[in-house]
Amino acid sequence: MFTTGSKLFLGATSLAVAALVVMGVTNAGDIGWTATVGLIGAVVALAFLTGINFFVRDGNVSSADPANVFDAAAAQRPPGRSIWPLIGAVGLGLIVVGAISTPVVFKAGVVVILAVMLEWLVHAWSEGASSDAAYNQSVRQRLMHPLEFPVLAAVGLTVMIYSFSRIMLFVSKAGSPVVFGVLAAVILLGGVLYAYSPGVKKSIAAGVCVIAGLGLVSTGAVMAIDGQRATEPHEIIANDSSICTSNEPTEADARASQELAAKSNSAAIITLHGGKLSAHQIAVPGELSTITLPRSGVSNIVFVNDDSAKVRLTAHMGTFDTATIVNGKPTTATSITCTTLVRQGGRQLLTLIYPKSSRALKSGDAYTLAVPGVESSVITVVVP
Amino acid sequence: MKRSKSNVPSLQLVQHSPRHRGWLFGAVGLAAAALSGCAKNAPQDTFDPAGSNAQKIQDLQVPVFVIAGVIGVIVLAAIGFVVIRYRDRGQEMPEQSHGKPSLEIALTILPALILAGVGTFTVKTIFELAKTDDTQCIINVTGQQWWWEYDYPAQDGCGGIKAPIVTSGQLVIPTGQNVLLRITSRDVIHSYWIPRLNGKRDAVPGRVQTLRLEADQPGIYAGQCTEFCGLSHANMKMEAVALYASDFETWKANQLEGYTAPVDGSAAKQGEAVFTANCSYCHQVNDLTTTNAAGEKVPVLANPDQYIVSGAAPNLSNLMTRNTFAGATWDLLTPACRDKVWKAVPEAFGALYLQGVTPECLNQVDLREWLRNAPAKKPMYSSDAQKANSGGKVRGMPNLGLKEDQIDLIIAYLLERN
Repeated sequence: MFTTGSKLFLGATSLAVAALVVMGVTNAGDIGWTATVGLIGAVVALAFLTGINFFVRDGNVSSADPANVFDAAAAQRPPGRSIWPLIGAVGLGLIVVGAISTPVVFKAGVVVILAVMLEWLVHAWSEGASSDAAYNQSVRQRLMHPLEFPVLAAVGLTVMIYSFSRIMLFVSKAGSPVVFGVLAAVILLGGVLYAYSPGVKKSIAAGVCVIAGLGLVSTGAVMAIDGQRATEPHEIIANDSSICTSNEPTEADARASQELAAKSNSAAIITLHGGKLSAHQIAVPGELSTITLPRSGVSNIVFVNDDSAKVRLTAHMGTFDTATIVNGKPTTATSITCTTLVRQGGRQLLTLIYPKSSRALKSGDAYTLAVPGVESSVITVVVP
Repeated sequence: MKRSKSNVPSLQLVQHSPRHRGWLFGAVGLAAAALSGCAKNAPQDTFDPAGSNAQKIQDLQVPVFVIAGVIGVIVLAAIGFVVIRYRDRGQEMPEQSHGKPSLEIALTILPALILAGVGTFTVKTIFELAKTDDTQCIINVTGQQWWWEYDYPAQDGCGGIKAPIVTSGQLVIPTGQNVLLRITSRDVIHSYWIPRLNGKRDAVPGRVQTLRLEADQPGIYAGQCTEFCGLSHANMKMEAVALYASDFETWKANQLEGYTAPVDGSAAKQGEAVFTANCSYCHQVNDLTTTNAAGEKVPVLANPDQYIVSGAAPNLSNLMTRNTFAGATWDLLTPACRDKVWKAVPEAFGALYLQGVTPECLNQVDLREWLRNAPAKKPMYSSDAQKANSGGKVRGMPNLGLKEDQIDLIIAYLLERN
C-alpha cells in the first residue's frame, strides 16, 4: 500500500513528531520555543512530502503500460534545431550597434527582435502541439506562412528596388537608361535561354539568381555609400519670399511637387536664352511676352535656363491691401515666389495660384514673371 | 365535371409556354433598345456630327461598328448553331481532338488583321484630332463645380481680340474656324464634351489639355460634363454656340462694351445696389463701381476665392447675352423664345441669338426660383453645416435669403446686363 518513498517520509515525519514531543516535555524558554516551531515545520513538510509520494506512487510508471512508454517525457522527440536564437542574436547586435550609431539600425534591431519573439513563440508552441513532428511543422506553417511570405516578399522587393534606385542615382542621368537597358536585355536573354534549355538544372538557375541578387544588393550598398550624382536642391521653404532675392540655392515654392505629372501639360514654359525671357504655351503659336493663366486654378510653370549663370524665376503675385490699418489707410503687402537657382540646361517647376484677377491689381501693378538680374525681360501674366 | 375539349383552343391563344415568353420578352427588349436610337430630339447625338472633327470620329466609328456588328452576328449565329445542333440528346461522346493548328492560326491571324486595320485608322484619327498647328482661335476653358468658364485671351486669332473676354455656360465660336480649347479645372476632374463637335477631354487641375472644335453651321450644340464631379454633376451642362464670322464680331464687340449704369431712380438702379450688397462678393460685373466711406468711387471687385472652394463664380457682366444660367442647367429664355432660337435656320440664327434675353423672353420662373433658394433648385454643397466641412467655403451658390422685392430689383438690374 505504502510506496518506498512514502514509507521513508512517513518514518521521518514520525521521528519529527517524536522529537517534538520530547522537546516540548523536557525544555522551556526561548530556545525551546524556537526548536519547537522548527520541529512543527519539519513535521508539516515531511507529512506533505509523504502525502505527495503516496499520491503519485513515487512518480513511477508501469513499464507494462505502452502508453506510459510512448507518452513519457523521455520518449518525446527533443526540440528541433532553431534559427531564431541566431537571428535574435543578430537583432540584439543591431540594437547595440544602433544605440551608439544610427537610430535606423536600432529600429531595425527592434523589428528583428520582435519578429524573432513572434517566430520563436510560435515555433516552441508548435513543437508541443502533438507528438507528431510532421503535424507540428504543418501547424506552424499554416499559422505563419500567410504572414511570412508577404512580409519576406515585401522586404525582398524593397531591398531590390532600393538597390536599383541607388544604382540609378549613382549612374549619370544619361548613362542610367543605357545601363538599365542593357541590364533588362541581359535578364530577357537569360530568361529566353533558360526557357529554351530545359536540360539546365534548377539548382544552376537558382544559383545564378542568388549570385545576381547578391550582386545587385552589394552593388546597391556600395553605391549608396558612395553617394548619388549631383542633383538640384529641392528644399521647400514655404511663404518665405526673401529667398527669391538671395543667391542661396533654395526654393520658396511650397507647392512645386517636382513630379513628372506636373511638368507635363504645363500652363507655360518660360525660357531664359541669351538674356531674354520668352514664354510658350501649349497650342499657342510663337514666343509670347504675355500669357493668360486661370484665376484660382493651379498653374504649373516650367522654367528652363539656357544661359550660363545660375538664376531663378521669380513670380510677382501682386501688391494688395492687408487688414492692417495705419493712419486710416490699409497697409499693402507684396507677394512673390520663385524657383530655386537653376544651372545652365536645368529645368525647375513653379506652381502658381492667382486668387484675384488682374482687374483687382492696383493701378500700375501687374502679375509678372522675371529673372532677377535680367530686368529688361519680363513676362506679363494676365488673369481674367 | 370533365372540361370539354371545345374550350381548350381559346385558352391556348393567351397562354404561352415559358420558352415562348422568353422569346417575347427578348423581342420586346431588342425592339425597345433599337427604337431608343431613333429619338428625333437628341441634341447630344454622337452619330450626328456638325463639324469636321466630329465627322472624323463618325468616319471611324461607323465602319468599326459595321465590322464589329457583322463579326458579332457571325459569332452569335455560330454559337447558336453549335448550341442547338450539338446539344446533349443522350448521344455518345464524340471523338475528342486536341487542337487544329491550321484553324487556330487562321483564328489568330484574322482578328489580328482586323484589329490592325481598325488600329491604323484609329491612330490616324487620334493624330488628326490632336493637331494644333492649324488653330485659328484659342479659348481657355476652366471647369469647376458645377459650371464652365470660358475666357478668350487677347490674340490675333478669333478674328482678333484686343482684351480678354470672360463668359460662362455658353461657349461662343465662329463657324468654319478651327477653334482650340485649352481645358483645365479649378477643383476636381471634369470632362468637356460637345458630342456633335468632337470627343471628350478631361479637365484636370494643374494640367492644360487641348480639344479642337469646329462647327460647320450656326446653331447651338449641347454638351454635358462626363466625369463624375460631385453632387450636381448631372446638372453641369454646357452649350457651344456657333455664329457666322460677322455675327461673332458683333458678339465680341458686345462683350467688350463698357459698363452701362442703370438710369437713376429706375428699378434697375435699385437692383444695382441690391446686387452690390448681396451678389458681388462672388460675381464680378466688370466696371461696376460703388462709393466708399470716404465718398470715393471705387470698383466693386468680386472675391470668390474667399467664399467658394473653386475660387470662382460666373462673371455676370453680360449675363443676358447668354441663353442659360446656373451652369447651363436652365434656360434664360422662355420655352417659346428658346424654340425660336434653337430651331432657327442658319441664316437667321445669328440675329436671333444676338438679341439676347429680352424682358418678354426672360424665363422668370426658373430665375426667380434660383434667386429664391439656389441649393433647393440645384443640389449644391452650400449650407452652413456643409460649409463647415469645406473649410468655411461653399461648393456652388448658397441660399442668400433674398426677399421677393429684392429678387424683383436684381432681375431688373440683370436684364440690363446685355
